[in-house]
Amino acid sequence: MAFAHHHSGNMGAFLMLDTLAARSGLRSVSPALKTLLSIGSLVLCVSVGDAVVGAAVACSMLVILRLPGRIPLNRLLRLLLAPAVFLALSCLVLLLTAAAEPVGIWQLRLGGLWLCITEESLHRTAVLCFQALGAVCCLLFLGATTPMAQLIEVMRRCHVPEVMIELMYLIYRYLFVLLEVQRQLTTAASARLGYDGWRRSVTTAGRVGGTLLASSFRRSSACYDAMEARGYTGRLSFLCHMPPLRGRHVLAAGTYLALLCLLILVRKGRLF
Amino acid sequence: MKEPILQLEHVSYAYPDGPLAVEDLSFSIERGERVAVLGRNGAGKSTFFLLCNGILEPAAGTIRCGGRVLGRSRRDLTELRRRVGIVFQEAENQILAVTVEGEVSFGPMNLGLPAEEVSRRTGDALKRMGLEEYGDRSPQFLSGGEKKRVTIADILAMEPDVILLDEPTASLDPENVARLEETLDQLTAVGIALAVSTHDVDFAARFAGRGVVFSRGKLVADGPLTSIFSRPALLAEAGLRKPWIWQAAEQLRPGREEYPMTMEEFARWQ
Repeated sequence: MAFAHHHSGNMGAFLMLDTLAARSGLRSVSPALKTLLSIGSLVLCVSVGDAVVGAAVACSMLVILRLPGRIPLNRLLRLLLAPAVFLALSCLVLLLTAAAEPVGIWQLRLGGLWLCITEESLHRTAVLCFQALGAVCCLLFLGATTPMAQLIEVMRRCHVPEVMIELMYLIYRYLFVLLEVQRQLTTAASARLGYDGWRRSVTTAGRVGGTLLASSFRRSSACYDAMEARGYTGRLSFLCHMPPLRGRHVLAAGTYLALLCLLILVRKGRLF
Repeated sequence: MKEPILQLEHVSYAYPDGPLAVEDLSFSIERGERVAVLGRNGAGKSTFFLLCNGILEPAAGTIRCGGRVLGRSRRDLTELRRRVGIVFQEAENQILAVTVEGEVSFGPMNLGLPAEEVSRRTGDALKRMGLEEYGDRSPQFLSGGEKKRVTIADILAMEPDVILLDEPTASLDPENVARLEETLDQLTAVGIALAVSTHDVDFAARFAGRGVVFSRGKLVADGPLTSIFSRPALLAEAGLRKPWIWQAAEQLRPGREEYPMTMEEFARWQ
């Protein structure tokens, strides 16, 4: 994890994904298969709307990421922190219902109103929470095991419009370039006490943003010259080494989806 | 006399709403030749490079490559960009892809080559720059010296005849400068012509025998570096100084026309 210190900023967790993907034990699995598995499980998890299925998807995805994916657990938990906080806040709102009379299994008096938790709201919240958690873990599986270049190439093969593909490549590349410029500007500003106190911090942050925008504009024409110099004529394409589809990987993914379907059938009472 | 590989004849260029950035420029370079391009910032060196590769369209004059005049048709431009590559000063402005392999393949991909050929050229270029292990690395995790090597591999993958390097030593530490000089030697060995713009006259003296000097958009001198450094008026006009070894030798034995410019020359100097 020698590279981690580069990204100890606020976007750390997000930028960590690509580093994890580059070292993941699943990087040699075909990205198309991983996309299929991830999106397939996500669709199943969201469409069924069952807490147990959601929890099963979330747990199994984390196990896959930890064991064959060889991603340290603390990294996974750090990546899950932001969505988990968001989810917890939304669930809290969903869990509580305001009523004139105390109802349900738990109540709290707030002036003339009662905040209640009913069995119905508890059930609804549990379903939504685990559904969302399952979906997040599906995407995490894809993101933490597939380098961005391969993901974009998969999208290109799925006939996502060319302009979006180019934008994704450029945004992803310049994210790092601009982040570095922003870091330098911020350091230079704090060296001159630009972040001394709240008011000054706000002003300085605004100026840093403005300078970043201006320098991006200047940089863009230099970048375009460099692209043209290498014969760019309107289509951005790169060589991308795609790991091939392997029989045992297909078998594993198929087994996973089959087991998931089986669980869904059991939960829906169609079986046993 | 050998046939020049790239030849500019009476080329002029003005930026929109600006004075002439390059005026009546004639320049030629042969296969395997090395030229140091000297002059102040804004003297026209970068504009000269962009003209050589067809990024800028000359207002007057012609550009020949391998004896043939290349115009502004798409075919001619592709030909020019394949044969004349530019390594830009800022690696961050040149690196485009999210992996090193993808980055180096960008040029060959644009040439419309078949996938196997792109793959072969990319592999070759990475190997020549000692970057075989870096294929799936992300450019943001590379050091300054590594990024410079990636940008040179970018151009090598297009298998050019001429490479123009814009201030390649500007952001390198001494170790990487030494490494760059080795790389440039390798390129000369395979017959690639090199033009390097630089403010570092000591580097220029080690690198090339021939120099061209730009001042205010004009090419004011073109010839052996020794003749350039022995003209005080020219050095003052172009904002240049003599190499340190030259100055030291001049202190030792004043009054001569020419002095050694590199350590090797100094060791043999009488």
